[in-house]
Amino acid sequence: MSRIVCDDSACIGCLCCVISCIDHHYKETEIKAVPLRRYKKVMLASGLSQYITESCRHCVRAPCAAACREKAVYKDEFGFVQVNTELCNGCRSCEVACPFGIPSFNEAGHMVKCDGCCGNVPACVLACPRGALSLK
Amino acid sequence: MPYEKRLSVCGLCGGKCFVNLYMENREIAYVEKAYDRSDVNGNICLRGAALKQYLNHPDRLRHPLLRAGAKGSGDFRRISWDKAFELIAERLKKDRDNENAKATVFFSGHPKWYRYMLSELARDYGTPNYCTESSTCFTAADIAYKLCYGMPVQRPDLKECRTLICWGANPAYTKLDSVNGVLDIIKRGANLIVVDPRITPTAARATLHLRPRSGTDGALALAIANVIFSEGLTDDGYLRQYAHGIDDYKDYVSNFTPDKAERITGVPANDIIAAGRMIGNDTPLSIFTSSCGIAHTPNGVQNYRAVFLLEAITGSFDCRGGNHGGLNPSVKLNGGHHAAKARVNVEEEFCAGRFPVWNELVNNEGQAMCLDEAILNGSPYPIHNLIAFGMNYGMFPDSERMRRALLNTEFFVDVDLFMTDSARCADLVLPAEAAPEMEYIYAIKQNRLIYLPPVIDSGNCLNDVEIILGICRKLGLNGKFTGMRTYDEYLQWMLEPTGLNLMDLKAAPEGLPARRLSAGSSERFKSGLKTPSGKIEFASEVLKKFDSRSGYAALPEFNDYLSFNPDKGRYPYVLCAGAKLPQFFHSRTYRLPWLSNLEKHTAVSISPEDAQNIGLEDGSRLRLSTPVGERVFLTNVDSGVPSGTVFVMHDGIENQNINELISAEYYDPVSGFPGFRSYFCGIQEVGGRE
Repeated sequence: MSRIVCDDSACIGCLCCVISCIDHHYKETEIKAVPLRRYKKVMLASGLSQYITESCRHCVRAPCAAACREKAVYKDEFGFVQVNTELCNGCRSCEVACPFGIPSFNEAGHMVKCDGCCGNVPACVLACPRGALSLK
Repeated sequence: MPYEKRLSVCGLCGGKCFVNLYMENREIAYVEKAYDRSDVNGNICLRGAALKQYLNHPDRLRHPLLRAGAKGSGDFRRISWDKAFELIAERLKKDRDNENAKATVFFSGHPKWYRYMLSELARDYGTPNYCTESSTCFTAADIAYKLCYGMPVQRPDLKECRTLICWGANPAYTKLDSVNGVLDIIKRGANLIVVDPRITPTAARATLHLRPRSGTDGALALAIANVIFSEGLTDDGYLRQYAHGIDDYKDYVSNFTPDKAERITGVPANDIIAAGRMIGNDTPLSIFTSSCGIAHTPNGVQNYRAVFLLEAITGSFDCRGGNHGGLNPSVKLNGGHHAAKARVNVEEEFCAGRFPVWNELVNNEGQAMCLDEAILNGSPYPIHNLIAFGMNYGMFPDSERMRRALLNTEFFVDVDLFMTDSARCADLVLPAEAAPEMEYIYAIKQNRLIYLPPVIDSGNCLNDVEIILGICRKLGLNGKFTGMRTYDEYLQWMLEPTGLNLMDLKAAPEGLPARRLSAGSSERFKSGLKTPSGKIEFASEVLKKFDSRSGYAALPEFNDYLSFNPDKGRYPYVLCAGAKLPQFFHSRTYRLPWLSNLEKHTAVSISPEDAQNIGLEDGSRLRLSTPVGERVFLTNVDSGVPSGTVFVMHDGIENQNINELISAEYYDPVSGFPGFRSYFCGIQEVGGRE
């Protein structure tokens, strides 16, 4: 399995990972860039309202890939689940199939999700100032 | 990989985080922290991660622009740099020839690196009127520290303190290069006390989190001192030797029992007692503050003094583990952040007399908050010309009034990276370079220095010092600094204390070790502090001279701002303007879609209880009214916000600037700092959602 895990006790919700993800995947003119790493604000037990972030788990038997009738979702040679946007027709079957709510959709309706930075050290892992992210 | 990796400095916030820029056809493809270099501080935050959107933003200025339409219309035409410098010199010479140099004000916004040169320009030109955005930022803290210790604020010793108070600061959002240093002290078994009304990621990890009502820090600090005294935890030997006015101070803090402070601040008395014991028993104490978290209230300097004096009663000031100026010899460069030459004819400066303690302790810049009055009403005398670097009227209270002032100048020059709302009011707009676009020298680890050439072509932009030198040249100034002919001369002057030669450094891409180090600054108080008594002043001899003035008590007295509320029925909430989110830095990143799109409504945060009482939900529209005016915002319900206080992001744009709703007449009489963080407001639900 190739997935990016987050040590929640170290994460401070600074969103470096999310913007670094955008920076590595988009041109600056793509102002509606949808980050491949998801984020949301949650209320923690302490009362703290904080961002938490999450990437695709790149499941061994990926339900999103199984659900995609266009064969747009597939496993690459590093074990990362990838999307071929040319084949994606935006049917959102992957969204229904994913138990973790990972797929996002860009303006064109194509699914976007973590690509694991394709074999490099992922941008989010490198950016995290707390060392909270690692590739497992 | 097809990308060329270039070492640079992000510089978006004025910090010095080293980054790798990955270049393709001379454009940035992406940015990473300089993780592969052990000799520099490689860091990146989310704002820096958006660097390419910042540097290549369509609002970037690329040419000098001269106003072509009505003032404020935004109608400009391109001119050459030579023509731009000529126009400035012509204008300034005219006033100087009429012996009216003081009709010109030089102003610096948040960028700081060139400030020494700008102050030299003001000085050699002959005006006393040089001021900066530090008038709402760090100067109040420095004034408070100088009143106590005779020197500017000293840095906390994160490595060796036993207790750290992170007071009104949340490095998890605003200072990511320090956050590990702050949070790691818990790992080594030391105490982290966070004082912050909000639950922040830093506060949530603290050993003890104290949540005073915004602007009551002084009362809390005095009550902590009360506990330390009453439990016999003071460092008496240290105090006997170095303290001035300690008996009066001790008498005064005896009034501030934990119960009384609980009634003022809302912090439970037991927590105050716990904090006093923790601090008193586990020294040395270091205090980590933000620039202005404590300052933006009418009792700001006094509150800051009460906080800073905790360093003294625990015997921590200027000791290992306490706040000090660096114990070991280290590299110092000339110039730098707050450096500025003392002004000429200070007694003629435009706000001389209004803030006598400021004038006594801050000899190198004026209080910029007097600027709108001087321009609009000619008081104390008319100001014609404003030469500004990075002006932002949004940082002034009653900002619309400052905007009017900008439009009322006879000649307003603004140097900036972007065509901002303020630049649009100018007669002449000059395009500046950002850090990765300019050559500069940096002190790096192990007392080494490095020269970095520009990585990105800025086109027709110049760096700020080049712009200053261009003005100096046309004015025919010939001082040691204003007579410099090249930027290289400036860089060589920066290097002077290190004993290095600029040409040698330029020829060494990996940098060079300094030949000379500047001495460490520990134990200065043994030879006498630069306070009037030469000691740590619990009762200030400087303030004593002016004690007939309201707010100028010699002791760090606490006075509650709530008595200034003109109508408690209409304005039942405390308004704390200037709360921070990770994605925004001043007004500098609102225009970056990657950052501003992260969350839809961020401006106004209120507690779930208050939201429920008013009938608001997340995202619904609210009307925020203050004694100055009102405005509609969207609600952000935040469980980390205490009820009774409304937190608003600062310096927003497009009708989201909360400073417009804060009175310019509501300020700290000692520092002139606006009461941004302790004003008053009412909130009504107005129906509708985003």
